[in-house]
Amino acid sequence: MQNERPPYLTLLVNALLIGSVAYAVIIGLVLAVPHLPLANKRTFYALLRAQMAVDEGEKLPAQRREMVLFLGSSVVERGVSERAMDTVFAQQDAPLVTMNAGTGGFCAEANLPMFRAMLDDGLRPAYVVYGVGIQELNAESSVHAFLAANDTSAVKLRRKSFLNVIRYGPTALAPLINADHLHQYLFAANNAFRDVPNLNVFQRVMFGENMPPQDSTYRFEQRYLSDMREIANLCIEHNIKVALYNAPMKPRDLDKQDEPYRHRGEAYQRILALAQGLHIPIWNFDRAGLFALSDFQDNYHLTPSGAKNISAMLGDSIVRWRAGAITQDQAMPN
Amino acid sequence: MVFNSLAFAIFLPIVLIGYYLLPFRGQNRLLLLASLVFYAWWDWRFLGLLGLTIVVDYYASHAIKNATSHKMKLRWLRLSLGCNLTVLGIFKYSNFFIKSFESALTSFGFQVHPVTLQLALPIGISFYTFMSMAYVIDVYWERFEPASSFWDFALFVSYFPHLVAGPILRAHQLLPQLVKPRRVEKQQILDGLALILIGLVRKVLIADIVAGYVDEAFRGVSLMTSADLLLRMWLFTIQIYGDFAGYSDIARGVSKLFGIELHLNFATPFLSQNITELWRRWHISLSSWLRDYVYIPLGGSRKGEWRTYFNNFLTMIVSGLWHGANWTFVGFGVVNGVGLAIHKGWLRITHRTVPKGYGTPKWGWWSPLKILATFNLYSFSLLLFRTPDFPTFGRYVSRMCSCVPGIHIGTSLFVLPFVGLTIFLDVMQYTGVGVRLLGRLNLGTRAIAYGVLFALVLIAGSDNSIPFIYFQF
Repeated sequence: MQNERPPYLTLLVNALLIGSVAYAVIIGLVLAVPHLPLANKRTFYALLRAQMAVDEGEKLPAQRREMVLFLGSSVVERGVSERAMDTVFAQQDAPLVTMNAGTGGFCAEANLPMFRAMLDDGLRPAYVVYGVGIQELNAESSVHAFLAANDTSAVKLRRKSFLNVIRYGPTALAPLINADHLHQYLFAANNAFRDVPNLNVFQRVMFGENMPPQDSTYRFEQRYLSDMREIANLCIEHNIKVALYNAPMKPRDLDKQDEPYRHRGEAYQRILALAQGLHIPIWNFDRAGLFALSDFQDNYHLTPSGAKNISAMLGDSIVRWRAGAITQDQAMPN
Repeated sequence: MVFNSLAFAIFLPIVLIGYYLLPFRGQNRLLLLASLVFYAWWDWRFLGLLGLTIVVDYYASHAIKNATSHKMKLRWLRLSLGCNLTVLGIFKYSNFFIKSFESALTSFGFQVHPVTLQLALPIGISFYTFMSMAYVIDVYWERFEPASSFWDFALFVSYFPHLVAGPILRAHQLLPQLVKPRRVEKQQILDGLALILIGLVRKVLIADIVAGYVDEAFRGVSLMTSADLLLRMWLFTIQIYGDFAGYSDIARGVSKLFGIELHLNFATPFLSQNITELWRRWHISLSSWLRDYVYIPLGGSRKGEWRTYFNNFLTMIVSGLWHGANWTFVGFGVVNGVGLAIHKGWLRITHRTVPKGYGTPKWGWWSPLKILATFNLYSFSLLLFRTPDFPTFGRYVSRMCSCVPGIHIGTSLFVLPFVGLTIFLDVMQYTGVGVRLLGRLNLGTRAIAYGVLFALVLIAGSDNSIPFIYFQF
């Protein structure tokens, strides 16, 4: 006669097996999904960019090249073409590689904690270039993410060790079953902002679109400037060269100008003062004649062809900077 | 403590270990203690209300049994019902009635400033109060002998798997299982695990994910297109179904691990071909409670055609009010009451019948259309369930019907797998294929199939845990 297992043993065996299979699936997925950031925070998109930068940084010593790390908001994310800039570097024999870690999705506030996380993880770029979208300096702007302290404090990318995968794996994978985050992941992992010139219907469905609203009020955001200063100071502390640039805005007729647009000169003066105080380069690309209207996708973001244009100009500026020139554009946005 | 929380994941194994080690009486004591801890996890102060219900109804049931005259029996019944309805009235409905009274007076030109009570709604109060009331009424009707042990009765009311969101069990369904020694069968363990997992899938992988898209619509109706609003109306139905049926599945599954069977609460309601059938398959424990303790005592269908429609209508209004103290819930009851009355009239004219209980009706080529129509009618009524007031409901419906062009295809495509999963689970249950399939799985294949699903639950549930909607009732 066959001995029947006691019920508690049936429960225990089944529960253990189900749990083991579940965690095996989680471990497999964490290892299989490229650049998946392992962390316990909700700022998935910013962490994804940080992880991508760290992953890229690990390859560079073998290639004997140095990293130019771009930080900023979606104006950087969409406005810096790694491919176009690396072509400029190659043409001028500069052993540099561009890494665009601009964080779109209204997450400019995430830059400082993410940069700290990258440094903690051992990333040491040779250059950091911070791109400023002037509307982000507007405290009244609706594009601010207003992240909570627990989203940004002590953000740390975790190594993919067994224990970390067990502990943080489910949290790390959770954004992939959220439509917005999945769109962002697909966009970022495929460089779709910059390398896909004209999104077809399927890509729009997959990636979504981004059109920031016009702001009707303006107040200078001191915290954002403090974050920029903190990033610059961290760079100086770690012997990383740092520069700022002012991203272009689409020129608008008087009747279509919103408040941040009208205050862009005033905002630029504040970041120019910051650069002057720290003796670091600042390049202003928000100047008449540099870009055609067709270079803009909307009021703030460049099209892929616009991104190529600014990347070529930025590449030249970086090469000159590397040679020792500290340029601080005094010309106000016009 | 919610079922999809870390606290419960620690709590349940501890209770199970103790349960399997203890003899029968000890098991009951442990379950009672665990139930009180489970309930106190939200707010220990509400244990007093639960205790009051248990003490009053236990002694009232014995007083009814021992009463020498019908008058005395009736007096004890009134005392018990009065006590239960007073607690429910104060904690759930007082502010609703005060505010409604104030609005009525204001509309006649009188300015009053009534005092409203700042009371938190005790979790699950409607569920355990209805259970306990039904027990006392059954004793009064001499359908059931009062529980001989106070502790068994206390466990009957507070048994944690059903305590905060049902099913609303009857004394004859649960008490006999509690008073005699139980043996947990292997099949119960396997079925229990399957039900817990299916419940978690419904709640975490379907309801919680869909909730994000539903909330989006109710936050900004004016930003949505008509198709988006229609899609979200359907999605809310799927959300509330996943949420509530998920809870019921987990409750039944957890209970099976203790060798105690809880009754089915949802029998694939969205494969119903008419509104009458839907209400026999949706929240079965509440529908049957209302049938037995409201509809039939009102006269049911024994007092003529028009009285039947009226009794149906009134029962649905009670159902609406049971769900929440707001006029929109009354509206939910009215829409369903009218729907049921019209359908009953149609059945009478065409000399047709609806199968008793949740038996499967005949299928024809038009059945999918009937299912779609029933689903849409019920989804529409659920809009009243979700909107905070009639103006918001009006804005939603008006924009949805205004043919505002466009649809967010990305979102729509993204929710498709979750909608598909709901349909898949229901078809498996409806056709019985699910049970047959699960029965054939050996240990290895079961571990793989359940493990993959559990991984998805862990991933989806790790972001945050959203409380079950029905806790508020």
